[in-house]
Amino acid sequence: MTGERGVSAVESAEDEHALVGAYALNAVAGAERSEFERHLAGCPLCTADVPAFREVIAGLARSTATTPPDTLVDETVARARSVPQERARRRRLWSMPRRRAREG
Amino acid sequence: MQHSEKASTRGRSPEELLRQTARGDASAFEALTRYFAPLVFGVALRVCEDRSLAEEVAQEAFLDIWRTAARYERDRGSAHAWIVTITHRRAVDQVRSERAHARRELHAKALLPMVDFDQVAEAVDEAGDRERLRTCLGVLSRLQRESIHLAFFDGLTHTQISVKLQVPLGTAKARLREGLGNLKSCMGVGEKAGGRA
Ligand SMILES: [Zn+2]
Repeated sequence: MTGERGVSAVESAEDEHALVGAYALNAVAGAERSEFERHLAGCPLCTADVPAFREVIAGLARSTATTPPDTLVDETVARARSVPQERARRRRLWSMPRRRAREG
Repeated sequence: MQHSEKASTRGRSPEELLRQTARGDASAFEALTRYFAPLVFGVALRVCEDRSLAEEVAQEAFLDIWRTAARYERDRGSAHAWIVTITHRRAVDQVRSERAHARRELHAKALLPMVDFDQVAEAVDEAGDRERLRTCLGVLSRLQRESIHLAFFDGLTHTQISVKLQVPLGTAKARLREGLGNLKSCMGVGEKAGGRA
C-alpha cells in the first residue's frame, strides 16, 4: 500500500522472529496472528520472549488502573455462573483463550 | 480502595486465586475479580475510551479468565501478565471491529496526547520497581517508546503504527521487539521465571 518507502525491500530482509514484539503486544491481527502462532509453536527463542515481554507489558499496564463501576464485580460473578469452564490439560505454549466464534 | 482489595484476597496471591478459580471455586473467582477489577477496567478503558464499552470488555475478559483459568501456567509467568494480556486482547479486538465497522479512522486517536511515560512509572507501587521502570523507559529510543505506546495504550496494529509513525513496516516490527527486549533486560525480567512470589 505504501510503495514509496521501499517497504518490500525491508520486509524481505527481516527475520522470522521479527513479529514477536508486536505479537506480545497484541499488535498482530488476523491471518498474520495465526501464522506467527505456528512459528511460535516451533521456536524456542520466541517462546521464551513472549512471556517475558508480557511481564514487561503488565508493568506498563499498571498506570491505567481506574476505579471500576460498582456493578462490574457482581455482574461478572453472576454471569460466570452460567459459563462452563474448560477442563485442565497440559499445554506447552503459553496460550491465550481464543475469541469465541461469534462476531460482534 | 487498595486496602479492601487486598483484604478480600485473604492473603492469597493472585496466582493462588487463579489456581482455585481453575478448580471451579466461585469465591476465589470473585476475590480475583475484585482484586484485578481496577487494572482490567483501566486497560479496557484506556484502549476503548468509553466507559460502558470498557465495562463490557472487562466483563468478557473476566469470563475468559473464568473459562480458561486451567490454561494458566505459573511457570510461564505471573497472573498479572496473563490477565493483562487477555484483557488487552479483548479490548483491541473490540476497538478494531468497531473501527472497521464505523469506518472510523485513526484520526481521533491520533490527536490524543501521548500518555506521559513518567505517569507509567509513577503507577508502580514499590519505590524500587518504580525507579527501575523509569530508568528503563529512559533507555528506549523515541521510536521504540512511541511504537510500544501506540500498540499497548492505543491498540494499534504494527501496520497502523508504521503508518502513524511514517516508518516502514519492518522498522515498526523491529522497534517493538527491540523496545520490549531492552525493557526486559533492563528490568531483569525472565531470569526468575514466574515473577515475584
Ligand atoms: Zn522465533
